[in-house]
Amino acid sequence: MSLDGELRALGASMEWPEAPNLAAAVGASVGAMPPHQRRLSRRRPLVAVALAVLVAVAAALAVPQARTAILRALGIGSVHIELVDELPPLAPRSDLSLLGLPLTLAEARERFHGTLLVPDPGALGAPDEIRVLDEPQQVSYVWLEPPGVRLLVSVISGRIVGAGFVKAIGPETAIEELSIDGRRALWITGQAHGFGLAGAGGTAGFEELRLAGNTLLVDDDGTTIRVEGDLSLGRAIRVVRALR
Amino acid sequence: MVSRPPDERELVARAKRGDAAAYEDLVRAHQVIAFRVALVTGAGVGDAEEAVQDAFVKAYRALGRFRETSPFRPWLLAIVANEARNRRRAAGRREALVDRAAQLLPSGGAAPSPEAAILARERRDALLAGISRLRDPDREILGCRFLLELSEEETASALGVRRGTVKSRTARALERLRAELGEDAR
Repeated sequence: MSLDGELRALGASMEWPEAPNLAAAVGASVGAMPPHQRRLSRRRPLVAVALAVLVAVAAALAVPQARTAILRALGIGSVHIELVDELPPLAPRSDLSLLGLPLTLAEARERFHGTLLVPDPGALGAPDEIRVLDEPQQVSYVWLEPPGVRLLVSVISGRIVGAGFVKAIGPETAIEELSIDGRRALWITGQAHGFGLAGAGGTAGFEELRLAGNTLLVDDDGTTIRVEGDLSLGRAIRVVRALR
Repeated sequence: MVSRPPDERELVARAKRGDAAAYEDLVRAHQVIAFRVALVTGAGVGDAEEAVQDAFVKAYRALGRFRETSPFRPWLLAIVANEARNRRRAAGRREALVDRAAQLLPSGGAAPSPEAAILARERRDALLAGISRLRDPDREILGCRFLLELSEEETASALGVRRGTVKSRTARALERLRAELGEDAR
């Protein structure tokens, strides 16, 4: 018998535990939910997304420790990952103002607390724009490919208390934990995802700019590196290694 | 294997319109394979039930994005596997598939099923020991493709990789298992 045949026989010989009948419990959970064909209002997507994030965050805070452990397990650097059930229809935007003010590299270095990682122009080419947000501290390097963004690399400083990034991820998204040169990393693929800022004071802004591609998050000793774009894991790792 | 309802597309359409009873039928049709996928992709036996229940609820909420022309099962299994993996991460658990699988094998005194009789116990133990020394991704792909006999499409969906990747990873995982068993490629 071939090895795969032996494995099939092994699987068939297992006495799998009896699957619980979940139909009634699931039916009760979903019975009160609204039908699905309603779309988010085109006029108020920001509000809808922000609400989704806030609801998710509130839910995480309200649930037992076992559930919040998921968030702790997935949090990396200053980016906190929150699993949500619904994402808005994908609408990649090129409104770079959401990434802060366009500044020169020297100005960005001046504003950034700590040593700013900078892309090696020999490896990545010079970014088309450098944008800086003060709260939370973030410098974004943007490579454009009209009409959108080809590659977005953000360097986020420290750990934010009270307000931080929230990565909203739909159920079809896969998250893989990696180690890159000894640094903890998360590789997020699959469904497009949004991310945003959840404010501590009950307000929330949601960063609309998001790409249809994959995201690599790396915890670089307290600084979070985020690489986002239509790129493979290998390419994303090369981008991270090209930050000096 | 778990049979699929003949009118699944209609059930999905009705569930999208808010018909909870139709969705319950979908749950009944897929809960067994969903439970086993949760076990293979990381949930401990104790967590698998919760993972699958949460996955079904999340899938319902996400039904608006599901294309009715696509098969439901691969899409569902992706959500299930994601839930299971998240629980594994949450618990910081590195329980090997083989440990779970070992719990699932018939005890020595039980009458072996016809399938079990095909594989001598010694060989089964050797296979399990070999699998236990593989990395998680190898174990998961062998678990999905062979222990659960998921299709390539379903495996790709559950593990969040492309179909071509399933083929190549499966081949590599089999090679590594052969190496663990001290066997040359056949």
